[in-house]
Amino acid sequence: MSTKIDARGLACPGPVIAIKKALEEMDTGVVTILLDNKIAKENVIKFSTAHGCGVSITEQGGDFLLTVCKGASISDEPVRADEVATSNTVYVFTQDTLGQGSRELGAVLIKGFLYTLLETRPRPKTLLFMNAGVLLTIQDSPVMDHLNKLAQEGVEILSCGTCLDYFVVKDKLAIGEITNMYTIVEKMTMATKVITL
Amino acid sequence: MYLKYDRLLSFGSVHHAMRAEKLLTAAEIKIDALPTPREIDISCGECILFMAADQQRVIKILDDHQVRWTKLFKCNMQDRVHEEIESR
Repeated sequence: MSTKIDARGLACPGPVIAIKKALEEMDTGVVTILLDNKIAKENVIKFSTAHGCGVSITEQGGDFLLTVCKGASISDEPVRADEVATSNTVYVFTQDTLGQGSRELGAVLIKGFLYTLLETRPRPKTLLFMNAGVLLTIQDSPVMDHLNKLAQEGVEILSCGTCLDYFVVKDKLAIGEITNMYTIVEKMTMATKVITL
Repeated sequence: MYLKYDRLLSFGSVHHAMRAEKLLTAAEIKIDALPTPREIDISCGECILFMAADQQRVIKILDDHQVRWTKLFKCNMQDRVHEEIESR
């Protein structure tokens, strides 16, 4: 959903009321609002960020165009600590890149995917790494920072022992634990949703 | 982990973003690449984050290698506020 508002000429608190109304009318989406003064700009930014929205600002000949994004994971309510990892979704990483076609692009996409997973609520329950996917959980992994952050927030990270053994990197595992096919099948069977990459 | 950065550069093409990441990493500038925030661009793009102190060097390296970027933002990653300071 996308809404455009021209709030130029509106006296305070008109612009804030306009953005509030637009955001309330959507679950997710983008509102662009055009403003003609700095005070209105600052007030709309304050309101939007206080409600968990991202904002970009572009100056246009003395006016300000604000793009306010309300994401699916954003809520007016603060996220409770026990809520963060309550999803019973399991992600299975079967490669060290994302998708087929270009490995170079796949390496960019896997980093972007894990970053975005960090930004998303609720957190998945478990990340399973199999086949070349285990190359993401060893030393010098390009996504180690993301995995560390997910692990700190309670996401379980499991790497297939057979796969680590095959790639001769068992002693390089840098995050999570080694697991076997029994546990992998059990985790997938018990999950509400399994997403295989 | 991205909160320390205060500059964000967007690109018109992922090829330029990938090239920028390689060049800036080779120049040992502290950067990170991540999906472009939706409030900046709704399409699936890649952007580069870096520190304001490195801004001149970053722009010079990209210009010297003809890497085309589109917008430079002053950013606050904590609040997700991105203020455009230059565009091409």
